[in-house]
Amino acid sequence: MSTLSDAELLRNIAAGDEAALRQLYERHAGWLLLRLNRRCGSQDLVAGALQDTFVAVWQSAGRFRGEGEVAAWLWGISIRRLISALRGHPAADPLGDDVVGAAVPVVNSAEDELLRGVEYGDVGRALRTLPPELRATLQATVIDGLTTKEAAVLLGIPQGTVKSRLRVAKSRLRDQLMPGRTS
Amino acid sequence: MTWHLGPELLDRYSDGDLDLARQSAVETHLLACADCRQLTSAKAPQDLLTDIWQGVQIATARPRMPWPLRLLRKLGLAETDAVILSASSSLYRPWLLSLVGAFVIGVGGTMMPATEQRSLYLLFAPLLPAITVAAAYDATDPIRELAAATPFSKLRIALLRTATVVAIALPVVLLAGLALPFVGADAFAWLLPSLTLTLLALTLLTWWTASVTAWVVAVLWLTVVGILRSAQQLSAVDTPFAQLAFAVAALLALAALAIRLTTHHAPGGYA
Amino acid sequence: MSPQIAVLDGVTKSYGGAEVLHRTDLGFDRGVIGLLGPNGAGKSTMLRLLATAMPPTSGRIVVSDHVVTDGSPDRTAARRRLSYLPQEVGIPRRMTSFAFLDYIAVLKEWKDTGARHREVNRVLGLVGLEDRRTKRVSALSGGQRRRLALAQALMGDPDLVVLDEPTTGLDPEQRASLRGILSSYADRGAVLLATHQTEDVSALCDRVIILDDGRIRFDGSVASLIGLADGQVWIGSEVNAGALSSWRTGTGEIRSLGGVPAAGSRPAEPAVEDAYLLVRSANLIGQPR
Repeated sequence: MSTLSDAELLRNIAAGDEAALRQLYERHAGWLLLRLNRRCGSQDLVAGALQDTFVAVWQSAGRFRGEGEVAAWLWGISIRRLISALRGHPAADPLGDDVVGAAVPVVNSAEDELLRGVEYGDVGRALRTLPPELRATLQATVIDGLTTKEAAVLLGIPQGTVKSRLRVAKSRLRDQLMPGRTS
Repeated sequence: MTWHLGPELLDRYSDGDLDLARQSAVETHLLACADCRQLTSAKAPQDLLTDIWQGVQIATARPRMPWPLRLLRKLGLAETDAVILSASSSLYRPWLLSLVGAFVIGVGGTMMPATEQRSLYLLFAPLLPAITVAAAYDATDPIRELAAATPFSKLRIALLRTATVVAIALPVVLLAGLALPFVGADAFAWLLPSLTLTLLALTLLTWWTASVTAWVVAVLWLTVVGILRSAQQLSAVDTPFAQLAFAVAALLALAALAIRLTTHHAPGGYA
Repeated sequence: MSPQIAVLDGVTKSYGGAEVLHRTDLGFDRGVIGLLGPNGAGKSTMLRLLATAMPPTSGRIVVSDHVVTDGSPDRTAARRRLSYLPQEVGIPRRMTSFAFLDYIAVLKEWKDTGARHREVNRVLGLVGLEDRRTKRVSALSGGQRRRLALAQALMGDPDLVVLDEPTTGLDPEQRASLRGILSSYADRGAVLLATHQTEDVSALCDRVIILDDGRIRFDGSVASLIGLADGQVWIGSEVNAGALSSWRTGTGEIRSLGGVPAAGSRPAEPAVEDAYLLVRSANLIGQPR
C-alpha cells in the first residue's frame, strides 16, 4: 500500500483515479460500517448508506475543502446518508451542497478535549448518570454533530422532543459537573 | 495522543457492548487516530464490506444515460433497449445529422435560383432519414462479428434503431420543409422516396457496413435526382404517378428486406 | 457417452470460390482444445463458424445439441450457450470499459440490471481491469483493450468458449492467470483457442489440432504430438545436416530439429514447437486419433 495521505487520495479520486477510491474505501469503510451499526439496527440501510457515501465521494471528491480530517468528513457524509435513508426518500443528488457544507469536522477542539476526558474523568461519570434517552440525544447532537432535525430522524422522535431532551441533559450535566452554579 | 484503544475496548465497541459515554469516547478518538481506525476496521465484517464495495464499483461505473433516453425509459422503454440505443449513439447523431441537413437546405436554398432550390430540397430531405439509420450502425460496426454471435435479436435492434432515428429525423426535416418558403408542396412529396431509401438502406446493411451503405444509398439517390433534373422533370416528383412509383419501389425494398431476413441475414450481420 | 458439445459435420467454407476450409469433420468434448497453424490456415474461419458469426458454405454445425445451420431459433439457442472472442475487436473508443461490457451483456440477454452489472464487474475483475471501469476505451493501452475484449467472452456459464488468439497482448502474469481461468471453464465445457503460442498449448490443452491450408494435419493429445518429434531433436556442437531448424542455445551448443545427427550430438527432449514444425514441413503427417 502506498503512503498517500487521505487528502491526497481524495485529490486523485477527483481526477478519476479508481484505485485511489479503492484505497480510501479500504482505509475507512470498516470503521464507518461499525460506527453506522451503532446508530441503526438495519444492516440493509447501513450498507446502503455506506455505499452511497463512497459513490458520493467518487462524484464529489473535489469538494473536500482540504481542511480537517478526511475521516470526520466521511463520517459526516455517511451519517447523513443514513438519515436520508431513514427518512425513506433518499435525496436525488447523493451529495447536495447542503450535505457537503454541513459535513465539516464535527468536533471542535474544546469538545475534543472534553470528550477525551470522558472515559476516565468527571464527564464520563456525569454522562453515565443520565437516563439512556438523554444520552442518546447528546450523542446524536454533540458527537455526531447532527442538527436537531436530523437527530429527530435518527432517533425516531419528534424534533421538539430532541430539543427538550437536549435542554434537560445539558442542565443535568451542568448541575453534576459544576454544582452550585445556577443556570 | 495520550491513549489508544486496547483490544478489549475494540472488541466491545465492535460488538456494541459499550455504554454511550465510552462509545462516544471511542468514536471521538477514532476520528483523530488513523492507527486505531485501522485496528477497528479489521473488526468489521469483511464479506459485507466486499459486497458493499461491489455496489460502489457498479454505482460509480454504471454509464449515465443521456436525458432523451431517461425520458424514453420513463415512457416505458425497456432498460435493455435503452442500453442498445445508447451504444449506437443513435440519438445524438440523427439529431445532429438532421439539423445540419436542414440547415444546409435552408442556407443553400436561399443562395440558389428558384429552380435549384427545389432540387436541393428534393436531394437532401429523403436522404436524411436513410443516412441516419445507416449512421446508427456505424458505432457498433467494429464489433459486428462479436455481436453476430450473441443471441439478442438483430431484427429487434434494427427496429429499435430505425424507429428512434426516424422519430427524430422526420420531424426535423418536415419542419424545415414547412418553414422554408421555397419548398412549398414538396414538404410532403419527399416522404415516400424517403421510406424507399430507408428500407433500401436497411436491406443493404444486411450485406455491408454502415459507411458503405450510406455512400451507396446517397450516390443512388443523387443519380435519380440528377437524371430528373437533366430531363427538366424535377416537378414530376409530386405527381400521382411518381408517388405511386415510389410506393411500388418501397414495397419492393420491403420485400427484399424480408427475403434477406428469412434467409438469416439482418442489418448488422448473420441473424 | 454424452453427446459432444460442438460438432462440425462435413463443413466447408469458401469465399468467392476459394475454399478456405475443406470438408471438415470434428467433434469437441469438455476440455481445452488448442488450434495451431500458420496465418491463413483457416483457424479463424473455423472459429467463426463454430461461434455462429457466419454461416458455412455447406455442412452441418451443432453446438450444445442445437443444429445452428438449421435456422434462427436453433442458432439463437446455441448462441445462449457459447461465447466468442474474435481475433480483432474494434471496441468503440468513446465507450467506457463498463459500458462496453454492459452492452455486450445486454446482447447476451442479461435482462436483470442488477445481475448484469454484477457480472460485468466480475469479469472486469477476472481480467484485472477493475480499476479501469470508468475509463474510456481510447484511454486504455492495447493490452488492456485486448483484455477488455476477452472479458466479454468470460461472461456467464458457456458450454463452448471460442477464443481467437486470446493471449496476444498479455504479459506473463496475465497469461498465467488466463490459463487458470480457462481451466476452470474447461471443467464445465469446451474451450477452443487458436494460438501461435506453443507454450500455451503444452501448458493448457488436452488436445491439439493443427490446421494448414484449410485441412486438418494433426488431431490428438499434446503427448502424442510431442511423440512425433521423438528422436528428431539433437543437441551438439554442430548443426545437423538437412536440419529443419536450428539455433544456438544459451549454453553455447546447437539445437537441431530433424536432419542427420551431427557427430557427437546427443538426443534432446522435444517440445510442442518441434512437433508442430515437423508436421508443418510434412516430414510426418499426424494420424487422426
